[in-house]
Amino acid sequence: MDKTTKDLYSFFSHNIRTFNAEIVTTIECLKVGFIDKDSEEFDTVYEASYLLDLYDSCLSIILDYLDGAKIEKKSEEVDIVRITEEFLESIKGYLTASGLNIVKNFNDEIWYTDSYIFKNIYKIVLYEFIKTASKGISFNIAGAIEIEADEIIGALPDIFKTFQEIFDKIGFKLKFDNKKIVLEYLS
Amino acid sequence: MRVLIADDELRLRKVVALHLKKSGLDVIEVSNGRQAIEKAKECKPDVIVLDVMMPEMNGLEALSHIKSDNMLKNIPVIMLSAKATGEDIEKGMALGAACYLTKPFSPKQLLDEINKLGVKL
Repeated sequence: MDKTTKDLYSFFSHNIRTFNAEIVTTIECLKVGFIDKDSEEFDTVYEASYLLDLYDSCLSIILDYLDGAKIEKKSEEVDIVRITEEFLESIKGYLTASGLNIVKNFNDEIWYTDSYIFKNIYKIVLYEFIKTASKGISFNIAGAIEIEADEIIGALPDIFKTFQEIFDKIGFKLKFDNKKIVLEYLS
Repeated sequence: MRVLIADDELRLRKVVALHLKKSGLDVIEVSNGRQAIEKAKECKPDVIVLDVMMPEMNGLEALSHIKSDNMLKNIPVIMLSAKATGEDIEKGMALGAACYLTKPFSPKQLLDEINKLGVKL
């Protein structure tokens, strides 16, 4: 197995098994009466299921890409602010538990690309970056997407290089270091 | 019984901790191997639960430190990991883990292993 495939397997296996464990453990808590289904804790099941689906979709995109499938910039509309807001809402349990201070500065941005590929990879990029952030994180959407963390623990996964390549194919430039991500739309 | 859990996956750590607390254990949470070692020295847990893939210091490195530290080496360590190959499990056991559970796992299974190890103390 080459390094890219190994990294890909390791990244997705780790995440999918983790989300699965979150679901199993929360259901067990419900079963034995430690939580009820209206509790905040039970929302873990919805959040982990949502992420499980997202990572599965992204895995399929990446396998297609590595298999040589044609990936190109399409003209489908993507509302960047709406996608970002919806994603942050989908992981609000995580954001609350993490205690991260979130600062948002959003201007309306409509971009045109392959919306399915964009949405799936963009959301994983967001989630992986959020997971490494501690203290605070700021989201700026105006012309480009800029996300910056006050402090980072660990490093972004190697698979970000593959995300960079795919973004490039659908009309974006992804730049990142350990404190900041910039996604530019190449119109 | 006091249990120290080290896992950087916040949502999973919280829900595992909740299960163990509601089962009557005293649970301390940290998010990487380095913090696990520091906290273990400070709080002297009866059992340590370590995830393998963590930033700064991973679970296997932390296990190795724990087993070579005179103050900590007798504390049983349960490895909890998404890495499920035989090689990964062998590595953990060779470094001195008391047991190795792969994700997804049943929290009841984790609780049983903790109780078993706690009773042996």
